[in-house]
Amino acid sequence: MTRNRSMSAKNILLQATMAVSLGLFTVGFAAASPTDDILAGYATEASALDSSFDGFSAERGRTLFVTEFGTGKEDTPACTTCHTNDPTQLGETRAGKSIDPMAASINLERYFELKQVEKWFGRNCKSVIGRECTPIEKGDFITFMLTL
Amino acid sequence: MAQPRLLLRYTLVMAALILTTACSDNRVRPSAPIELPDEIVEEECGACHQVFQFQMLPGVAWEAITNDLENHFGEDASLDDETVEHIQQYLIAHSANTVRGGGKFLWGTETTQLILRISETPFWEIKHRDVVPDGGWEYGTSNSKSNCTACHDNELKGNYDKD
Repeated sequence: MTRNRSMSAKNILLQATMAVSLGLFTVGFAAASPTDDILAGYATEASALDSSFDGFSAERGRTLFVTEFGTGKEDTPACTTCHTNDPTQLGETRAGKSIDPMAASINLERYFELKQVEKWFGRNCKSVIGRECTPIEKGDFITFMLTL
Repeated sequence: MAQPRLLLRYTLVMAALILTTACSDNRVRPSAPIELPDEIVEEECGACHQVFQFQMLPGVAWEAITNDLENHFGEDASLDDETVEHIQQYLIAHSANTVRGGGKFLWGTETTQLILRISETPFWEIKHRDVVPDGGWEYGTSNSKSNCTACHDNELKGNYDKD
């Protein structure tokens, strides 16, 4: 019996250690979300292009979002053409399809996959501005959406 | 006696007409059943607009559309090459040339310049002429002819006949 009790005490200790380790492991991963990774990537690109780059700005991102460029495709002069002025609300494509809100608080998964993020920046920057967005613009945009 | 003979003559004439039409038609007869699109097609096309019935445009039109996604009816809808290739092959395989019910969408498309909008095919125009009342294109949330579901509620089944 003594031996058994000692074994179970060891087991409990072992299980507790494993649980704590697993917890720390999970916290460690949670700290660097996929969105953080995407932003870090854009920050690296931004620094490479401009040595004076000192971080993304939600305010610049807001300006990007609401500016009427009119330099891209005729029917889409601004992001707000389809996404509306309120990123927490549903948008609508020109063909009548609903667009999920852009605000990260409502739809964080939108900024999880680099391939998806790049696809939409690639298309929509060209549709709205008429050129690719810079890494700074992309980072600013996401930073703005993370504040909402 | 005159009547049965007339009927016979009428039948023969009709049969000859049908045969002539059938023989002169060198297109592949559309026969494949309507299918719902695959996951990639549904996700990519359906991100911006309803997933249109592919049997409503000829394969050559789908080929041209998917070859120029950078200029997609006023927007940039570009995709990576691999995804474009997948979608293009799917659309061509399920176009008006191959899918049952698509034949009527080929009417008049072979003699004119390439039509890229379903709403500009002769069949679509005939079906909507004098049917949509004044202001009808403003019905629903979008004033666009690409928003079929504003008026048709069964678009996923691909059967608009009973609307």
